[in-house]
Amino acid sequence: MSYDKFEQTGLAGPHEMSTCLPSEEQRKKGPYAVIECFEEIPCNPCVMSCTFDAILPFEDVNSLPLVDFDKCTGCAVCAGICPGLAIFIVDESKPGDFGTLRLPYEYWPLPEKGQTVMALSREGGDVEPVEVVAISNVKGARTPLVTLRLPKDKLQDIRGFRFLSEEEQAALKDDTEAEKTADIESLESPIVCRCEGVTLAEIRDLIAAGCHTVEEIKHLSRAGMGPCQGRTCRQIIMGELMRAGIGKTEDMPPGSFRPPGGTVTLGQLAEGGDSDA
Amino acid sequence: MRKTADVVIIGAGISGLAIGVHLAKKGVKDIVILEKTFPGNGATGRCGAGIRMQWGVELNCLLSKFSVEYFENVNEILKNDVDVEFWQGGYLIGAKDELEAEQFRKNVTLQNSLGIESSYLSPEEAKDMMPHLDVSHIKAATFCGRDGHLNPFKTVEAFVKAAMDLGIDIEKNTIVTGIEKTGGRVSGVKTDKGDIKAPIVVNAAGGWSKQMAELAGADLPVYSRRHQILVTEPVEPLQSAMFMGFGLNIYIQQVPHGPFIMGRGDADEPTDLRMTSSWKFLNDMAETVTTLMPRLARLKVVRQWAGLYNMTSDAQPIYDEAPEAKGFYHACGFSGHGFMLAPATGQLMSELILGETPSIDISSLGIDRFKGDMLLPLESSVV
Repeated sequence: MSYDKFEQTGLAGPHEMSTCLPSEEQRKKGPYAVIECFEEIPCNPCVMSCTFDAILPFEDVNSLPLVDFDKCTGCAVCAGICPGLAIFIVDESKPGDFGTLRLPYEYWPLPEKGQTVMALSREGGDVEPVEVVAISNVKGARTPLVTLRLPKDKLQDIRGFRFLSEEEQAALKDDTEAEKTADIESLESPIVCRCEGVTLAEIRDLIAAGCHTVEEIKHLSRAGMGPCQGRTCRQIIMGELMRAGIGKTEDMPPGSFRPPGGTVTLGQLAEGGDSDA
Repeated sequence: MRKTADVVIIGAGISGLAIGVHLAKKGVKDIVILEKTFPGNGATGRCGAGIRMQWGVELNCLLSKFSVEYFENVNEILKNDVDVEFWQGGYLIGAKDELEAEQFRKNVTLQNSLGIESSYLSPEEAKDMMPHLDVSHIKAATFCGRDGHLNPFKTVEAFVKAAMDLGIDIEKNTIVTGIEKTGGRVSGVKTDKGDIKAPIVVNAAGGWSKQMAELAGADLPVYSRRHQILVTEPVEPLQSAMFMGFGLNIYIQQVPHGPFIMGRGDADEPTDLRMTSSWKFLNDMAETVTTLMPRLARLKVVRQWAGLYNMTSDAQPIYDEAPEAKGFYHACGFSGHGFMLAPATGQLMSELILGETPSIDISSLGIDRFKGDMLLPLESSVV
């Protein structure tokens, strides 16, 4: 995506954006206003609306707004009031991979909280389906603000959204379900021995191949050789042996129990010296 | 279970399996391997599974060289694709004192003369190779990069697969209760699952080989001593080579998936077929290893176990037909090296049984050597 043709397209590019974003450190403090206003026109509601004096005073009514990010609280009053819909409230201060974007939206109907909408780039192209997490009206402002949950790396690229068509909604639902099914299918067989990552399928294959004791299965699969020494898998394997008709679990040799039975370091053992206490 | 067989092998450890596989490859048809529990559950599955060509006695060098070359081509030989995890990171062997260092010089000369590419190292050179080793405890070292270790379970699996592909019957959970003789010749084996008639019976029972020999009325000058071993939690790769010391009394390796496995010998260990674990071993092992490798003090022990060394008085194996029972063959007394010698055992025993000229002269490994003054030079390169 290229923004270097602001003159021709009116789309903010890296140069324009470099004038309206806070420092890395300021971004971490909390929400902030991004004022994407790059044309000198006689317009000053933003600077007049800010109760924190966070938008620097204009030299004249044609001045471009500049934000003092040390003062900006991301309160969003300016965003609701800007007649050019040029102000966005970005919050990337929370931990994790997601942040929020509050953008002015002046059409009816408004989306609903929790609805999935298609996020749009500055050019208006589809980016990806995203979730609406809030709709708000700032007191004294005319334009409602819609809050989208976005991956942090897309917070400065997405500047709009559109509703999904019925077909898109249906497709999305199918995708989600297909994804869920795929997740289950791609999951390997359940893990029986967590220390050594041995699956139920492996255990069953070994039983089918003639391994009819816990100990044989341990030798060939490593199930039970890890730090916990078979605390979980031993019973599961015995259960599987019983299911395979090898015998009752109470009659089965449970396999070896190896000392020391708890994790102790070589250093501790060496220091133990000759004490037999 | 079959009622008759051409050959019955007692013991499905690595030795018995290798003998069976080699006999079958030579065309012997009806082979049954009898196993008290399941393959590899004796010393085979309990050992460190190391293999080295650095020995002090010529025959051991030759036998282990044969085995290294065999394991390097094991999938081709056994015709299957089981990954036996043969890790050839070498063996670094440390000399505790001047006397041992002097012996090591001789060993390296001998090894080199047999085509084994080992080298004699100063403690500083050993340090470069193994930075976590406190070389103030060694006077010298030797190293051979083709030595290494395998996964014993996987190796057993590879031999079991090969055996089954060759039509060998492996009878698990079958206890040998008697060995029948007719006119000084072995004629069959009695088990708790039935009897098998067979003109040839091989005693590959490892720790229990003396008891099997007794069933045939044969005297076998071996005894079994418990040896213990422990394994730690897995950690990032730190040590590529196996480190070993005879005077230092240790062998320690880091296996491919991360844990350290280590063992040591103890003359006070019981010789009554016990395979229990002792606190003393944990204590002694920890002291030995943390002295030599202080960095490992923080490693947690996951478990310890024990197996049996089937010992002879010269620490070398017995490959022979029992004088008391024709057709009854011994492949035992490996003295802690049965795993690494198994390929040679398979090859040489199959040749011995079939009356072929052995690939390596093993006439000195007969049972008669224990009767008079024909004992072999004692192999001192043992833990």
